[in-house]
Amino acid sequence: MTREPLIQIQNLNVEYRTVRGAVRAVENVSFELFPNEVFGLAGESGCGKTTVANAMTRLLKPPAYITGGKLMFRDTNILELDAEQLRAFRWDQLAIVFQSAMNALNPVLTIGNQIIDAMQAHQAIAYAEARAHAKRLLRTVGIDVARVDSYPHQLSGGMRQRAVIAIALALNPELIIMDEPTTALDVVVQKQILQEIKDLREQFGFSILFITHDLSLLVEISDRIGIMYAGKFVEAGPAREIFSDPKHPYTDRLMNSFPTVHGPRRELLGIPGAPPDLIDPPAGCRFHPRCELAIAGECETVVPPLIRIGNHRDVACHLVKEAEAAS
Amino acid sequence: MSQPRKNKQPVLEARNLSKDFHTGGAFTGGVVKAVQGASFKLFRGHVVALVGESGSGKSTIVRMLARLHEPTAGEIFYNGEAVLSQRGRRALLRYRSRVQMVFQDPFGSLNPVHRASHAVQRPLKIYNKASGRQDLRDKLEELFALVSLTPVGEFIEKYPHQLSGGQRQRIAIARALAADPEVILADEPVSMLDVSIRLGILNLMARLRDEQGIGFLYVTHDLASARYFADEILVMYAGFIVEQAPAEELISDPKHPYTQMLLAAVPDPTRGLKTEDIELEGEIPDLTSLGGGCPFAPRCQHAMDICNEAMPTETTLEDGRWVRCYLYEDELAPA
Repeated sequence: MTREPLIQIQNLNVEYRTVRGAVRAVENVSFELFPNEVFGLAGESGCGKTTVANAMTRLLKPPAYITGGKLMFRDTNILELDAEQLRAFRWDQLAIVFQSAMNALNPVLTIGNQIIDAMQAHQAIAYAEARAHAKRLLRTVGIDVARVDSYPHQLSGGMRQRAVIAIALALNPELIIMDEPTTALDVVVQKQILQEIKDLREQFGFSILFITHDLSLLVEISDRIGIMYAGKFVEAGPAREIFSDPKHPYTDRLMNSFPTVHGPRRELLGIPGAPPDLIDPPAGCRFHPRCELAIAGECETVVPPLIRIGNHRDVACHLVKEAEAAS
Repeated sequence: MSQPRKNKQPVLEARNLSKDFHTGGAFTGGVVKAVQGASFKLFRGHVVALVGESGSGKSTIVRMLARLHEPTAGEIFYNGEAVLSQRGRRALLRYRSRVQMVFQDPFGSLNPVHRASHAVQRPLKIYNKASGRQDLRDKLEELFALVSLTPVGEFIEKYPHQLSGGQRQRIAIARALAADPEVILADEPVSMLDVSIRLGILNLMARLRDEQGIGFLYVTHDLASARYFADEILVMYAGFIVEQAPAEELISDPKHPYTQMLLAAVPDPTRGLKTEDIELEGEIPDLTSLGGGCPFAPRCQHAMDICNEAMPTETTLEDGRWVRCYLYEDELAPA
């Protein structure tokens, strides 16, 4: 495949400078996102997934600092944009939908006017034309066109979240970052919105960086996923391959941590212990204190590099490296 | 997993429980029919899951059973005894020591200025479960060990902010256990926790069910965890319990059209997102303006004329399983 990546992240490092010391929230994270692809980021709270998204949009504020790496959007390094270029980039090429986005709508403006505002701030477009486009967008995300003059409080949570997606689509971006976009919603509404997102992606061809702690949801919607643990990528590859054949012990335990309604019922074990404090993370592999398969003398001293196995899977684990060497 | 013994007495029973909430002013106000005619039984060593979307009335049922809300109609039986007519502090204390609650938010349910020991000590004192300081300390350590907060000595001294969400929820469970309950009402106890932590709490509650014979009412919006932990599942929609079945049967063979829709909406990691053959149309109705019919009828693919006229009664399908839906009424008729 000779596809050009839309986004290329190389060795991204982010730290939060606190009074207790530097928290290395993201360490040497690299991944690519291709056009029209859904890339999912998974991991427990505090593993750095939202920090990656905020770094990509340059939304990090002190005490968070990007301490290294490259964030390429096609040929542009996002880290080198000045304020004006950044402002244009954020809406034209990229949109963001947050978890509580439905509460971020302005309560005193109709949803139609909020979509029109976004368009007029970035394009020379007449009000009437913008309003017609706003109606089209609402219809696209499954909201009755008559709602264009409704205020946010007149809509349900699911409808408000759809309205936010309509705003995200207003400038036809190439990338939409969705950080827990359906977490606050009920499962039926969640499914409705996810189907809508899938249809819209087919129609408009944008890429999605999808972040959620709900693994069954992430595996279902993503083409490829990256599993993060304590600020690092431990595994990346095609979603369903990772689900059915996880290589990293953390991924394996994570995939065996959530009950499902599909397939036979089985006992689940979960993961012993808790994620580490990132001010003073464990040496070597950060997962080794919780790993039952840790190799004495190696895992607690040597940091495992992320290595490619086969054509399209990456794993950072000494066990996998040795298994590969043996075969 | 245990099966409910038919001839055994339930430890807690709800019979036709209803709750109306009045909103607004005297002339402009409406009535929210939060729960209508809910009936079910809870046995010792048995887990019943109450599943539904937000606003379906699950928490209102829990609050009535915990005697935090006075039911508008219906009766609660504790070991066969009607409890709603029992008045006074003493009776309420006795009931609450046997029926304890665990809340959703472990960050909000522990007092931040007191150590972990404080939360667990209080019920021991209030319900007179300990005699003397040494006994109190022993009981405290026993409870911390029971919920796997070890080393016990260390955790007893900690403040809530020094604990993770999972550890706080373990303290909330220890606090409930301190009163020596027969039933624990757990209202979304794991929904605010991380995936890897969730399972630890569910497995802990399953152990308490098996080893201590505690009966659980497990309230959740997550069918998958209900299937994992519960013996029996009740599905709620807009204030009505619409289906009851053993957990595995409900998942493998859902009867009520709403249960079918709910199951179809659960993400399936084994395959990609597909357009389902079940339509996921519409939203939960406004509970102030329910008609007399089945509240799911406007969204239901199988809706008939009668569905808009009256709410169907329970149709018993087989042992331990019923559904409130006209589609199954014919199955009552002898073949």
